[in-house]
Amino acid sequence: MKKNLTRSVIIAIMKLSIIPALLLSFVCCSFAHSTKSQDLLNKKISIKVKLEEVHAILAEIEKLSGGKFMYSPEIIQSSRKVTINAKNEKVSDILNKLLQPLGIRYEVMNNYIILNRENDLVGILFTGMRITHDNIPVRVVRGNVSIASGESLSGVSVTAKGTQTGTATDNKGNFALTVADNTSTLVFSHIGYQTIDFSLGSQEIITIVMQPDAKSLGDIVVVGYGQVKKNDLTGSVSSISLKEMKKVAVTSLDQALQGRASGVQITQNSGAPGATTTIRIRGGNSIQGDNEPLYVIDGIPFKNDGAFSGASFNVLSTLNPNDIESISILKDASSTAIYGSRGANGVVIITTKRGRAGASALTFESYYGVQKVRRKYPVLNGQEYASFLNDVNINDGRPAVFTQAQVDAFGKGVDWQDEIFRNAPISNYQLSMSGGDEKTQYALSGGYFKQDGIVKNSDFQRYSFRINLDRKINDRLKVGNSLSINRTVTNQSRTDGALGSSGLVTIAALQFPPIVPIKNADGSYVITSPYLNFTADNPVALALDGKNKNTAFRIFGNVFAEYKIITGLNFRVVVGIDGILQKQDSYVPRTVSSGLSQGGLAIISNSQSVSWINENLLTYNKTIGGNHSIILLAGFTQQANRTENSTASSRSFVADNLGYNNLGLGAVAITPGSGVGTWGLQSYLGRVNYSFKNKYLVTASVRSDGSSRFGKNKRYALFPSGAIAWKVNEEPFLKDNKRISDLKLRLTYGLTGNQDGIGNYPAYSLLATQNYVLNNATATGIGPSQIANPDLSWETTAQADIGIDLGLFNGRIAITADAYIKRTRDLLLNLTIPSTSGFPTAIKNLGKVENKGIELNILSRNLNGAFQWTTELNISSNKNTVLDLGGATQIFAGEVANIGQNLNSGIIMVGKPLGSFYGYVTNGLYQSATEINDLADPQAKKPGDRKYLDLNGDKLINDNDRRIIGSAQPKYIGGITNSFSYHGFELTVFLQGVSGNDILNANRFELEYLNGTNNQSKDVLNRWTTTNTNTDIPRATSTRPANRISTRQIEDGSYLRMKNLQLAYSLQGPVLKTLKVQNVRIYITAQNLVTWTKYSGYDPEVNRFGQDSRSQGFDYGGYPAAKVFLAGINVTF
Amino acid sequence: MKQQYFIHFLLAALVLASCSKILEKSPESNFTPDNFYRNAEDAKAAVNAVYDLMNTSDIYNQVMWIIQDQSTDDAEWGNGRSTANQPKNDLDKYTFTPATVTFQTLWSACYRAINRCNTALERIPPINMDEPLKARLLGEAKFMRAFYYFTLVRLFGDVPLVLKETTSLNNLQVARAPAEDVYKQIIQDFTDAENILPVSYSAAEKGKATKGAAKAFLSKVYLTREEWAKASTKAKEVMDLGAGYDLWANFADAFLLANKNGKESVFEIQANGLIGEGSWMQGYMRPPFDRVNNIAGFGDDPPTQSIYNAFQATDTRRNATLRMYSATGTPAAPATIVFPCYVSKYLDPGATGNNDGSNNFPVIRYADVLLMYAEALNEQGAGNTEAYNALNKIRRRAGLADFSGLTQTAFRDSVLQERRLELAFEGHRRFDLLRTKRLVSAMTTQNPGIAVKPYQILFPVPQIERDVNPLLTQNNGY
Repeated sequence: MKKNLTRSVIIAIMKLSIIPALLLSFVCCSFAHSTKSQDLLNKKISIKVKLEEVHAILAEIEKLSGGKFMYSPEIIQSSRKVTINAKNEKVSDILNKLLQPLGIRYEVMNNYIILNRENDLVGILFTGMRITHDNIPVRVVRGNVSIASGESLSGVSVTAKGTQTGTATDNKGNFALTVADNTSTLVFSHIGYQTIDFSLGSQEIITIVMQPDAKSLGDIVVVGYGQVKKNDLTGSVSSISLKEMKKVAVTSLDQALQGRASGVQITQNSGAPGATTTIRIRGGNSIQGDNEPLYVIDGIPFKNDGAFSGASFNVLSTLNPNDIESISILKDASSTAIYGSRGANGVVIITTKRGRAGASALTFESYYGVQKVRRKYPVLNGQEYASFLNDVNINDGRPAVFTQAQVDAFGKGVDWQDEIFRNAPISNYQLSMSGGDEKTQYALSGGYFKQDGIVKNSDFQRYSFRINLDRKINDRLKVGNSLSINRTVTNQSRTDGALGSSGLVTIAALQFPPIVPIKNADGSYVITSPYLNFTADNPVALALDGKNKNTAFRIFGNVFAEYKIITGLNFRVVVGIDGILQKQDSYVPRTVSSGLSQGGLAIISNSQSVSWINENLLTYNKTIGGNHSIILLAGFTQQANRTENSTASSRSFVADNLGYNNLGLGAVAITPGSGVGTWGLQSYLGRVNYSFKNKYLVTASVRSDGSSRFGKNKRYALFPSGAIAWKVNEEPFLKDNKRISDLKLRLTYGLTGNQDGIGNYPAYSLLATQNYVLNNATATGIGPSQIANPDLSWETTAQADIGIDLGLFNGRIAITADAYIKRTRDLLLNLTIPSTSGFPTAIKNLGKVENKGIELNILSRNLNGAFQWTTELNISSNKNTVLDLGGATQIFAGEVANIGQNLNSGIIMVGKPLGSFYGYVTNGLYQSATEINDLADPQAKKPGDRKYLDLNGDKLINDNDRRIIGSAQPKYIGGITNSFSYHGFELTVFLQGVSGNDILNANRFELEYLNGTNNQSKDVLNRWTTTNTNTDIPRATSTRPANRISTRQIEDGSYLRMKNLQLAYSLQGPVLKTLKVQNVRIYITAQNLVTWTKYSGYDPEVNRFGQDSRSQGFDYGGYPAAKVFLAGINVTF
Repeated sequence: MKQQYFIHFLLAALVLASCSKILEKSPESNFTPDNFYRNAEDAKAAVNAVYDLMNTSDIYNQVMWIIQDQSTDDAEWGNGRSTANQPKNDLDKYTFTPATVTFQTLWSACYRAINRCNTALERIPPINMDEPLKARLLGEAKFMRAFYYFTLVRLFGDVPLVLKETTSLNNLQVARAPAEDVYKQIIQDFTDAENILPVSYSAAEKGKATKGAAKAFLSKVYLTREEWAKASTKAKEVMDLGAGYDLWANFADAFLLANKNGKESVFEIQANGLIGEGSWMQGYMRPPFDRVNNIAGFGDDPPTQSIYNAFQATDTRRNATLRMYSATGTPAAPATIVFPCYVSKYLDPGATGNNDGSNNFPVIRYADVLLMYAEALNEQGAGNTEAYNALNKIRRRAGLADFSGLTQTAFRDSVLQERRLELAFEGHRRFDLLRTKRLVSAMTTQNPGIAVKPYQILFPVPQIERDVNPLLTQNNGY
């Protein structure tokens, strides 16, 4: 079936492909020379053509009459063929014969013959200001249009304001236009440049210099498989202001989106260079499946998922953010349903820069800056720690460890945080060239970015190259490509690791006693000491000698061809590839105890992931009469991926200095591993955009997806959507309203899916390696590991959205507000099944999650004169509720370790949001033995121990006394940008924040453990003693009760951050000419300058478990965020 | 014409692309049941997988010690040490609940292993291969199925009896079968294994279940069921099998790495020093302040004063089993630890990590068989010479005087005491206390502060299992 369908489509296309050959001979060009209009119409010519296209006939008439036709190509159907036979007839008569049957009117102005459809809106307007050709005096204006570099600009539209009279500049930038003598203003416009209204004086020759316009792209919004005018959007789409986004120095483009769009929550999981983010567009739909949006970069879909830790490598960082031309974030189902089974989490569409005809530019951009740790954790110094140790021993009835003199001698001791942190440079260099002529456009760029991390021995480097080409082969066929080749090298610090694990730089720096020296007398790193009675590695040795490097090489690009079959009908074929080669090298040195015990451990992992995609799209644009405009899209796409990986490791090295470079040097080889994963997706898609009178807009789309990931029984699914919008301001009653310049109401509904985050073969029955040992040798064992689920299918999200776009005071204020409700059903849940089956869990489609929320965007141009002040505000609120868990009322979730007694940190409970923390409620400390006896808590021994609420009133403190104690999901997220500019100076203040979320600060387990094994937070100076009882810090004792996840570790994670403060100056006027440059911009920037938060950890932006929805908002040994100070320059030649 | 070629090229690309079956992606780095179970090698691998789970932390590499020692008078938790591990503390203090994770871990691992056994038992018969080898492999799978069910039935009582491979997500809820039915199946499987398994294996397959192991387990099953005659018969069959079973001259020799799978070994869990297949005991039982090859141990299973004092000073087994540290010794124990005693039975000086020891875990040593024989004979009548011979053989090796002239009760007590000392920290204590119904009294003697309630003799059915399977009833009391 499928094959037959494909074949018939191909045959149809092949037939169509004959057309361009036939049409090749059609060339439209003519030369204007001044003739009085009446003369033109009265001129007698002879013409004889048989079944020729109208275009060709008009061209012939131009030649014979000396006049020039002006018309929009859409008004004449290419396929329409006409026969005409005239001998020495007036041009007017010939035109009447030719055009009237086609419903086309004509007007003549000087030597221009302007064609319009009879019932065209423009035509009606034109008729309203009809000019009779006899009595109007006319004049000819000539001139040249160029850009600041002096290069001429072709194809610039030049019109007399308020009329249809106009022309375009030729390839030397010259134009000549005959206008009515009373014409006062000429309008020069060109895509990508600021439109110029030029006041016409008496001069005949004028010179225009056009300025590039970053905002003009905002008028066109890139949506799935196409573009629409912002005005015509029916769905909820945020287009990101690149101008603002680019003011922030970031490693990866996802970071730059933070705070820029309503409804889009972005969390930097870790402060490490090249680390991942977690993105939730309108909340998380899925519990176990993937919640990250789909990225579509130059048409190639890509999922940036699988970051299981904050320190994971961010694959998106392999793309250079400076190459981006536009970003749209599709949020509602009407916009995302065209991406079907991968659209449920929203879609981020990114296009990279392409060349423009005539606009040649060479741009150099660079910045350099310094990063500093935002704040240090206050921990005990040497003296304080020594006294604390004494206290621990005395409390347990043992003698003090140190005399007062010894305590004093420790002084401040070692500040381990100072030893691992540094001020680190960040720099970026980028050279780009773009330009072209009418037929060929190019955009090339090369970049180098380097960010040293504030933790020693961590850094990120990116080398990037891009080449985007476009070539018009003829009027019908256009080909082009996008290609980027990037290499990144990331030295990752060991942070954000498993709880209680030994090899973590940041947490070890907090834990290491200040009384332990960094090195022994012989210069070697301290590994053992009487004061080291816990499992953590010397943080300095670990930071400096440990190696953990990711090298990624990515080839990303496509080739495409666009063919105009007939006017309005286009066929586009794209073939793309995304190849990611990654190598992860790691070495744990013998200078730390975890490395020493293994004699040094080296691991090398390689993975190569190659995806290819093919898209075949037909689009049809048609305006029927003046009222009906329709755009049809039909497409067939297919994508497949193959990922192969291997890991090799060995240990017991004679020396550390070669690190992981020669595994053969390790005396003990460790069993290698490898694997292959593949998936494929085949999709049919269609969309209709219809508008009536440019007032009522309707969009309907459908996509059918087949995925290799799902069970044979449920492989295909259908994702429909619909939207209606009403441009109220086009109605007569609002048309001339001075206050409301724009008002549009939108209503959308649709279904989208999610198929990611569950591995490649979730539906299969799998066998796995289950080895045993025979005769001291490993013997291969193979047995069942996964049970088949042939009924496994998509998670489906139904979303309804209602929105309003409001423009006030001639566009000075633009407001967009949306409210939505999303219900995700058939969740991909890895459910506990009866163990008697032999399988602890199985992936099934069960359960429901709801997200509902509101979003508000306000753009206000407060001051519009020489001093300009613009404010952009976005704020949104999302409420997430788990509606159903397939019958269960709750699922314990959230990563844990021994540190929390193996109890989960979170719970997924029906009626509650995802990301709920679950634990005990502490209410201070036991103050007396009576209090302890009143409540049976196996963990409480003496006054000064932490006290917990007996929630179920059974006088016993146990696991049943837990409840939801916090939520990782913020109530509000938002950002506000204020920009001020005056004569080339520009000041930008960007604030971003979240409110109402909690963080589980697991560092407190280590820093408030009070048993004298590791360093403690400064708070423990206020610990409970018999004389200091009014405190919530327990007593010091070597036999601490077990850790319990409780309200003690839950902290308010709200913050407001001055994300960016930038002062820039752009050189003005004559200086540019003198320097022979188009544009020079210099700036200084401070990022993360101030953060207002109550959170006591390094930074409130933390997510130890990366994108895992079940363990959100967890901080354990995170990599701190940095304050950054930058200076930069952009020069365009 | 160039553009036409281009179009054709693109169309050709499109045709090629659509021809590939991109929705048919089958696993390439995992076997599936469809492309496995084809020949003798596959059958062997399927049976190796059946043994595998014993050597994981879910069973004998951790959970079994916690259950056998922590919940008895042999090991304690706390007493000056960190009590951070709640499940261990709960087992020690008898504050466990159906939600205590240890139960779920063990229950789930046993059934995972049982499904592997059932899979082997169903998938191997159709394979065209050497029939005697096939029969032997099926015998091994039955042995191991009986082994896992025997573990479950003793700790939980009635348990679901699943004897078919699970291939679908339908009908997964199974009710508990009476313990009697489970025992019937266990005896059936061990008997089938006993009939088919060889007395010994070639060097390459050393470590697999033998005829002697099946007989020893049958003896243990009958002992548990107080079928004394059958128990003594089976024990005697092991002794007379001609497999060369005997005791090492010194108790400590039984635990030397050089003597793995030696003459005293009847069935032991195999480990080599590789990560993933290594033993955890040497690292986990050593205290944190005693580093070997720079690795701190975890100090699991800290022995009680009760077991330390149970050894006579002249008993050579004491120092081979336990090590007393002190605050002034080397290495020095933290003074906070009230009784700084740790298990020293399992040492591997070559281990380079806590989870890569090469010690095997002795599930049944020949000493166990002798003690089972003595016990079963004594229950059939006091004053049995063979019973004394067996018991005294154990005592003599330990450097203790022979017993003689004991009453039946005194003999019974002596055997149990000998089992406690001889087999300490080998995964027997709770089972022995359960079948002799002495768990409550033993705990009270060790620490009167711990009140074991009568219903706690059986562990609770894990709460998670009951949540997903309403057919599962709970043991009384929980």
